[in-house]
Parts: sequence; C-alpha cells; structure tokens
Amino acid sequence: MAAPSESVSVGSRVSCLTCLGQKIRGEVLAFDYQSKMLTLKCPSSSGRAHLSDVYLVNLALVKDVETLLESTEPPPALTALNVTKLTRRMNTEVGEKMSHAHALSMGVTPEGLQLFQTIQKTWTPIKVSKHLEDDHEKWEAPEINFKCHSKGIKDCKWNEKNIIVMDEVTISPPYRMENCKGSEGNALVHVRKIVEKHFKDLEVQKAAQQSPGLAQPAAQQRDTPLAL
Amino acid sequence: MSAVKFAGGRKPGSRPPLGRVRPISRNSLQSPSLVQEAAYINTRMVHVLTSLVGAKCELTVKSGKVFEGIFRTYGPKVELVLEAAHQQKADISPLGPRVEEILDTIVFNPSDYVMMQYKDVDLNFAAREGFTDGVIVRRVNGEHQDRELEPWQGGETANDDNSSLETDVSNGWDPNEMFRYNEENYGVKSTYDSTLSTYTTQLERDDSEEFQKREARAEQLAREIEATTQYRTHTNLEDDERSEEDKFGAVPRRITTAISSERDKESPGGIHPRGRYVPPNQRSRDGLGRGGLRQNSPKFGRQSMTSASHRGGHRYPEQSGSPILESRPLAGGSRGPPVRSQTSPSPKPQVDALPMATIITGSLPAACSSGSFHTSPPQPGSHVPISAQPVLLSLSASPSVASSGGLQVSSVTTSPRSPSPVIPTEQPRSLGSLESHSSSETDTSGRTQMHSPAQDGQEADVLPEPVMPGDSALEPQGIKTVTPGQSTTTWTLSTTTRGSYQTISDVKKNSLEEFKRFSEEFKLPDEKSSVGATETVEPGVPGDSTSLVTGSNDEVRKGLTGSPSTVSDSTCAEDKSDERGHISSSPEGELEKGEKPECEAEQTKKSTLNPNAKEFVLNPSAKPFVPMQKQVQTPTPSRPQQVSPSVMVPQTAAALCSPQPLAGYPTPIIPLSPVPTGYTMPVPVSQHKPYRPSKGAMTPVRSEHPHAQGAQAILHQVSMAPVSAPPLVSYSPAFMPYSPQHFPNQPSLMAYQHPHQGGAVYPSLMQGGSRVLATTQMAPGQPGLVHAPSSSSPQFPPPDTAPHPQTIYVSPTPVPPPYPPPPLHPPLHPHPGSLHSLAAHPSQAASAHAGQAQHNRPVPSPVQHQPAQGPQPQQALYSTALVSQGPHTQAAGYPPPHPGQPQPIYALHHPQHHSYNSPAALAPNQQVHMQSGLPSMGPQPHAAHTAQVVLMAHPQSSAHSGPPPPPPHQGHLPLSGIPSMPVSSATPFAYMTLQPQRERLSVVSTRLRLP
Repeated sequence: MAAPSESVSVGSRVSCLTCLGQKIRGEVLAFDYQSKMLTLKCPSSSGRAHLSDVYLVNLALVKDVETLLESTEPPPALTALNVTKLTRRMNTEVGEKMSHAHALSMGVTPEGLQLFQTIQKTWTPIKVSKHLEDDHEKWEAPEINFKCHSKGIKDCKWNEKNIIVMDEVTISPPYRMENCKGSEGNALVHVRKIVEKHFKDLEVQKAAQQSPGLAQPAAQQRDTPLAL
Repeated sequence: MSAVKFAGGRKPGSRPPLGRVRPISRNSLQSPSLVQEAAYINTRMVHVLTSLVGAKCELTVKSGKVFEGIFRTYGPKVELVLEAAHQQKADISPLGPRVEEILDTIVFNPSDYVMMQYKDVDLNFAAREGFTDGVIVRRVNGEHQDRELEPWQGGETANDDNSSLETDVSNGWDPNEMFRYNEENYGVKSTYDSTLSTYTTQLERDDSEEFQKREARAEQLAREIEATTQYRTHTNLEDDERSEEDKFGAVPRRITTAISSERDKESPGGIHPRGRYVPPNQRSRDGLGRGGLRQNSPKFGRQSMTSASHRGGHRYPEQSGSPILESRPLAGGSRGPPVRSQTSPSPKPQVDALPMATIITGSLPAACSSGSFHTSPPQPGSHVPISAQPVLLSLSASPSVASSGGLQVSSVTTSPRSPSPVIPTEQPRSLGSLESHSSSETDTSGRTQMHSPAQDGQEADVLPEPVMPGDSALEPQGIKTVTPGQSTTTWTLSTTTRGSYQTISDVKKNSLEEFKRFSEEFKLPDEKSSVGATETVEPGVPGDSTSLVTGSNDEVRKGLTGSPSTVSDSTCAEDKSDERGHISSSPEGELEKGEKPECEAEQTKKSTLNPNAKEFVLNPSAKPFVPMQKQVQTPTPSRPQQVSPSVMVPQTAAALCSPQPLAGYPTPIIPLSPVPTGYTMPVPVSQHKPYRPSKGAMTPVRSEHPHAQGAQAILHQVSMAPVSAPPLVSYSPAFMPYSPQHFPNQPSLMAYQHPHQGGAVYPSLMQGGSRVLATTQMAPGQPGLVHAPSSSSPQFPPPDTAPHPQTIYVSPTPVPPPYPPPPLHPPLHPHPGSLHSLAAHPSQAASAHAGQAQHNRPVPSPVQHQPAQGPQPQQALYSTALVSQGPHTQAAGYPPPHPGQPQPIYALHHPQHHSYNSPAALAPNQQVHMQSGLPSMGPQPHAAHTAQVVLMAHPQSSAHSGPPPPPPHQGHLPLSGIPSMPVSSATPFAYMTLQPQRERLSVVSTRLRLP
C-alpha cells in the first residue's frame, strides 16, 4: 500500500484506542498518512461471514495504535467498483430511511413498520413481482417459480397508514392477513403469505423472550427466502 | 481520477462519486505537494471508502455523540458526508427517527469525528456485478493496469518495433523453457530432431525386394491419392492465395471496369437461363422490365405475354430498368462497347458485331420471329433445330419489315458491346448455323468458336449469353444480357440495312473499309474484337453477302425479335438471345406463353451457353451463321408469326411487340417497313439499302405484323436496339448483310422480318412508357438504327456520332417503321406518356443496356432532337401510332408525325432510331425522344436522315409504304441525326467500319448531323 506509515501496513492487525476509550481491533484495509485516517475491517457484529464491520478511525483522535500482527502478504488487488450500484444503494437506503421516518411520523404502529420492513426485504419470486408490474393476466399463472428470486419487493410504499405493495395489494392497519386487499391473484396470495409468516416469526421471537429486537426478525428474514 | 470525482464531496449536496473508481495504487504515491488531495491519492483508501458509499454508518464525534446516517461521500481531507442522518438519542424510538429528526446531509470535518463505523457491510458489494459480458471481460482482464503512456519517439525504427513485437514471447513458453521443464519434471528430453526417433521406430531401408515392393506400392498409393481431384481440391484450397471473401463470397461482385471475362460472367449472371447469379438489382430490373412489358402486353391484350413478357421485361429492365448495373452493362455493352470500339475496341466490336450481330441477330431474330410467329414452343424448337439459317431467314423476313430496324439496332449494339461475345451467343442461338457462323466467325476471331460452342450447348441461352458476352466485351457488367439482345438487334439491323440495300456489296465494301478504319483507328479494349472483328467484318461484309443478308435478316428478325427483344431485353438480353437463339424462344415466350416453355428450354440452354457465350466474345464470325440460320428460320418464324401472331403478339406485346402485333402492329409494321426502306435508302445508302430490303421484307412483315410476329419482332428489335447502343455500329454492318442476304436469300422472309420489325418497333413505341422505352430502344434497335442509336448512341456519340448516326439513322430508317408503330403504341398507350415512359423506359432500358450512360448520352442528343422535332414527331407518331395501331394505320399514324403520315412517325422513330442506329447516339436519341419528346428532336435530325432513309425504304419496300417512312425518317433523321451524332458518333463509325453500309450510314449521319 501506498501508506508511508512505517507502523501500519495493509493487512496488518492493529488495535486502536480512541480518545473516547473505545477499543477497536481489526485488519487494516487502508491507511492514509496525510489525513491520518485508518480503515479497519472487523468481523460482522451480526456474525455473518460474508459481512463485516468497517471502521474509519481518525488517528488524530486516537490515543494509541498498536500493531498486533504485521502483514507479510502483499495487499490484495483492488477491484473495480460499480459506482452505479453504489449510488443506487445509497439512494435506496436514503429513500427507505426517509420513508420509514415519514411513516413513523404518520403514526404507523411499530407492527406496521416491522411488517413493512419485512415485506420490503422478503425474497419474492421474480415472477410474481414481475407479473405484477407487467401484466395482470400473468398473475393468474398457477405456479410460481421459486428458483428465481428477486431481492425483495421494492415496489412497496406507504399511503397514509396503509402499505401498498406493488400497487396491487393494500394492507391497512392492523396489518394482519385479513387486512390484505386487492385483486385476487398471485400478488395478493403472495403478500398474504408474507404477512402470515411475518407475524408467525414475530410470535416466535416473542416466545423466545428475546429482548425487544423488533428489527431483528426483519433482519433475519432479509436473507432467508420466504418459505411459502 | 477519484480526486475529481470526489472533489465535490465537501459540499453537503455533493453527489457521490461517479464513474468507476479504478485502483491507481502503483502509480499513486502520496505526495506532499498534493496535500489537499491526499485522501484521493491514496487509492486504497479511496477504494475502501468508495465501496462503503450507501452503507449505513454510525459516526462518533469527539463529544461522544453518535450520528447515524448513510455514507455518501468524503472530501479531499476525508470530510465525511452523511445523508439522512439523525443523532442517536435516548428519546428516539427504537423504530427509528421521525422525519423531523432527520437531517438531509451532514458534513463532518476530520477534526470533529473520532471514528465512523459501518455495520454489516459487504465489502464486495460494489465489486459484484451481474453476469454480463462486461463483467466477464473485466474478470478476465482484471489484472489490467493502466500503463503510463510514454511519448512515441521512434517512427524511423519501425523494424525495431516489429522485432520487439515479434520477439515478445513473454506471453508464452520459450521452447527451451519447455524442454527444460519437461526434462526436469517428466524426464523427457526433447530435441528438434525431425525424425522423432524418440517416439517412433525408424524405417530401416534395405535393398530387399520386399522393401522395394512396399516402397513402390507406397509411392503408387501416394500418386493415386495425389491424383484424385479431391486431393487437388484440398491442395488448391491450401495453396489458394485468394482471400476467403473471393473464395467463398456468395455473391461475386461485378466490377464496372470489369474485364471481358468478368463481364461475360456478369452477363451470364444476369441471365437467369444461364443459371448464373443475378444481382438483385438486375433481378429487380428484370422484374421492372417485365412489368413494363406486361403493361404493354395488357394494352395489346395478349395473355401469354406474362412469361414471355416477363422475360422480355427482364431484359428490358436490365437495359432500362437496371440502368446502373445492367442497364449500364447493356448500355455499356452497346454504348460502352461502341465507345470502346470507337476508341479502340469499337472497330473490333463493330466488325465482329456486324458479322456476329448479323448472325446472332439472325439467329435471334429468327428465334424471335419464329418465337413470335411460333406461338407454340415447338416451333421455336423446330426453328432452333433448323439452325441459324432458319432463324436468320425468319429474322430477315420479319426484320425486313419491322424487325429489320430492330435487328439492325440489335446488331449495332452487339457490335459495339462485344461483337465477338454477342455474336457467339447469337450464333449459338442460331444453332447449327451458328456453328457455321462460328467457323466463319472463328476465323475472324476466337469469338465465333466460342459462340458456336455456346450456341451448340445453348442455343437459346446462347443468344442471351452472347449478348451478355458482347456486353461483357463491350461492357463487362450486367449490361451483357441487355447488350446481347441489343447487340443481336444491332447486328440484325445492320444486316437488314445491308440486305435492304442491294448495294450491299458497295455498302459492304464501304463498311469493310470503315471497319478497317475503325479497327485501325479505334483501339479496342478488346484486342480480338478490334482486329478480328474488322477482319471478320470485311470478309463478312463483302464475302458474306449472304451472311450480311442473313445479318440483315437477322436484323430484321431482331427487329422482329427486337420487339421480343424489348421484352426479352427487359427480361435481359438473355431472354432475347434465348428467344432468338432458340428461334424466338424469348419472342415466343414473350409473345406466347406456350412458347415460353421452349424459351425456357432455350434459356436453360442459354444458361449453359452463357458461360460459353462469354468466352465466345468473338462472335462476329458468327454473323455468317446468322444469315444462314436467319434465312432458314425466318420462313418458319414468319409463318409462326402469321399463324399465331395474335398469341405471340399478346405475349410479346406485353413485352414489346404485343401491343403492336395485335392491331396496330400491322399498320405500324407497314409504315416501318416503308420507312425503313426509305430511311435506309436516304441515309446510308448501303445501310439503308439493307434496311430497305428488310423493308421490302417489311411489306411482308406488315402482313406478318398482323400476325404479331412483326410486333414481337419489333418489340424485340426495339428492345434490342435500345439495349445495344454498340449494336449501332454493328447495325450498319448488319444492315449491310441483311439487305443482301435477306433479299437474295429470302425476299419473302425479308418481308416477314420487316413486318416483324416494324411490328416490333411499333409495339415498342406503342406499348407505352415501358414499352415506349423498350420501343425506343427497340425501335432504334428494330430499325437497327434506332437500336444502334439508343445503345450505340452513348458509345457512338463520342466517335462519329454525326456520321455514324446518320448511317445509323439510315439503318434506322428501316427502324422508323418500327417507330411509327411505337408511336401508334403510344397513342394506344398514350405515347406522350409513352414518350415519357419511353424516356423512362429508355432510362430503364438504357440503364439496363448500360443504357443509363447511353440514355444519358442519348438524352442530350435526343433532347435536342425532341425539342426540335421530337415532340411533334413523337406526338404525331404517337397519334399516328394510335391511329396506325388500330388498323395498322401506318399511314395515319405516320402522317401525323411529320408529314402527317405514318411515315412521319417512323421518321420520328427513325430519327431516334437513326440516332441510335447511327451510333449509340441513335439509341440515345431514341431514348431521348422517348424520354423527352424525342420525337420533336428526332424529327428534325431524322428529317434529313429520314429523307435518306425514306429513299432507302422506298427502294426496298416502296410497296410497304416506303414513301411514308421516308418522310418521317427525313424529318426525324435530321433531328435525330444531329442529336444522335454526338452520342452515336462512335457507333456510327463502328458501323461504318463494320460495313460499307455503315459508311454510308455514317455519311448519311454526317449529313444529318450537318443539318
């Protein structure tokens, strides 16, 4: 790496103690001597293998930096980045957060918010969503190809307190299965299944007496394809 | 790079970095001087932070406060920008912040924050991309690094560069490296020993018998294997240095400048029968031409025309329809050849063409006439068998009347284009006669031989092919097909002219002299044609009085066929040639669908012949054959015509003649015949004479016209004429022969032919736009002069437009008769429109013929003519034509044009024809006339010519309405002659050279020009 710092090289494991007393350990991703910025990669706090927590540490406000393990391997090659994808992600995240904030401001119940997040992040057969978007008639397709999943139902928005899914299904408070309304079709069936599973999981969580991690169910479901 | 992208990072509203962030690690070193951009210089830092864009983050400031937001970007000093950030507070519900608690954008200075945490980030998020080509490529070439560009400081040391490239083996194994690797890892020691002793058992050679036997056996087997065609094929493939495109290109591209051989090929290609590839353009043209013919045919009311008409149409289209490619070829063939001939080749072509053309035309005409006459296929076939003579006879007979002009034209065209080729093809068509012709022709040049073979192989096909060859010779390209037809027509015309004028001997002499002159003067691109042609012509002219006669007959036939040719021309010269060669297969086909089969057979033959035809560029020798065949065939054809004129006419009529043949044809024919005679007489003494003879025949022809043969012939002739501007040259020669041959051999036949010619011409004119064009072409062709003018006009104009044109005109004079018919047709079909149509047709035909060039050329001259006389004459002609059409009202039709009589019409036509005939210019003139009121122009020029022509006509076929024709011719001649002069000068010369008649013609043309 280009970092001139003798003490920090890419790939090394270091431990930093910030001025606030936070101790951070991680693998050096990058170090910029000029700005004294250090990026560290730590295992994900959620424990997922392919994810990780990244820290950008301002060494100017760090009490101590300790190199735990000096790296001998050359730094990994840098890959090209899909900036478009990054930009999209940012806009999506911002949009979701703002949408969530708006919904919250509208007085949507926590259940509703949770359901909304769940629906948003539920793996949805691409066929369904696509059909919903493209052609109503195709919704009548008897079978759903579960092998093809989209990343979730992005076409999900708030309308007052109602959740509008794919412009087809409306879920009104209290957001139960019976509150799902819309033209009969795969979309409605699919949404109902999502709602059903959402509350089932929620009950399971409560039963587990887990701390009020309302967001966790959704987070867990995020990468778990909806079992219909 | 990233610096720029992130430059705006500081600003709250700055957008996230755009574009791809590429690592620049190697080159990027932090540099003190770039403190501000330090963060951006550190590519690894840039990469990491960029890959975190859009991720949720929690930023801790010095105060310990935590802000949660979405990382957007960062600045040069690592200012962090968060979107939709909110401060984590205890009072914020676990569900999330409210809208009012969220800040759109917050920028944190590096001095304010302690750290920023991204939770559950997928560092490979941005690196992951869809399974796209771009991704794959990127992966494959993932290691690619941007190299620093170094200024190029060489240029003089190209060798070094190459060597560096060649010696760059970094991408592969070095042989020594491989050897060493194998030796170390596998214990295999490699060498460069070619015996591969390490891997194989060496052959122990001894002296034992066993070994020797085996060795001998092995060698034998090797020889056997190497002797197989397959082996050779493969070897050739390996050794073939041609590009893959050349070897496997599905569509051989024609080269405009094409070599004769290529032209031949092209011409064949253009010809369907030949089976060669027909460029789409040509096809379309064919289709157009056919369509035009059909239109004509409808007017005529002929049913069977479709097939024949189609064919004819094809040819026409080629000439006119496919102006550029085919038309050019055609035009080029006729025109181009003439031009060339004028320059150098013209002589040869002319010479060859004349003889050849005569022969060919004879055969063609015969075929046409026969075809036209023979509504039924059998007749054509019979004709074919009969051989060239019959064809010639028929041709001569029909030509003499109406077709004479057409034949002449065609012959002219042929000569100009590629005398030899055309002739060959024609000869083939003529059949046996062809062979004989070929023999004579062969003497003149290799063409005849070629033609004869082609003929043998493909009688019908030969005709088209020959034409093509001729075109090829003259103009290699698509024109060939057209040219063939034209050439044939021109030849016939020339022959007819000759024949018409008994003075043929003189004419011949003159023509021979002219030819010689041409040969000497003109440096023909076609080596053979020029020399051989001249020679051949000479022999043919003087010695081959019969041949000439036949030629005239041929011309006549062509005229007859000419109508067919027009049709066939539209289809392509092929059809015409086929028809002719097959004994009017095309004509028949055009005229009568029933005959079509035969025509097709002929065409098929043609297809085979085509190749040969190409080879037989030297057809000129064929001329002798033609006469023979023509004579022989003519009789039959004539009968057929009479027999099934209506049938034939309808078919052909659709193409060219049909209209005329039907009703108006007879009349037109008559006028034509008279006119031709008159024309021939006045204009080129010799030529006119031939024409007249044809005219004399024309009287018969007239009789035939009714039959439709005349019409067909006329049509063919017309087409032929237009098609082959070059033919003009040939025409004159052809005329010479024709008159002699026809008259001597078969007056009756001549008469038949004349009628045909006249009819043909008429039809062409009559038919209307397309037909008109065809007619224009045809007419010129039919008259011989006309055709020559049209096709030759372009070519000829350069050389001796004036003189030759005149001569041509003279020959055309015969043609005029045909023209009158055309006018008639116009009336029938609205000639005014027809004129335009003619113009258009001419354009088409011209295009097809190479007519484009010709047309262009002709157009100018014609335009002039038209202005002067064209309009009036044409109109008159047309009107007359109309009148005449109905009843053959030749007189009526004619009168209107110039003197207000049929003749005038003829004259008009003749003028055009003359222009065409005289040189390629004639054709142009005709075309012009056709196109833009050529009549007006034509008349004037023709006037002079016509006068001459008229004289000629009178002598020959005074009975036929010789008087009427002359008038028109005169009027027209002057006009056409003048206009044609420039264009057709070359052709005329060619004609001149070709035959004495031509000279006369040329003289006449000169005279005409003078006026």
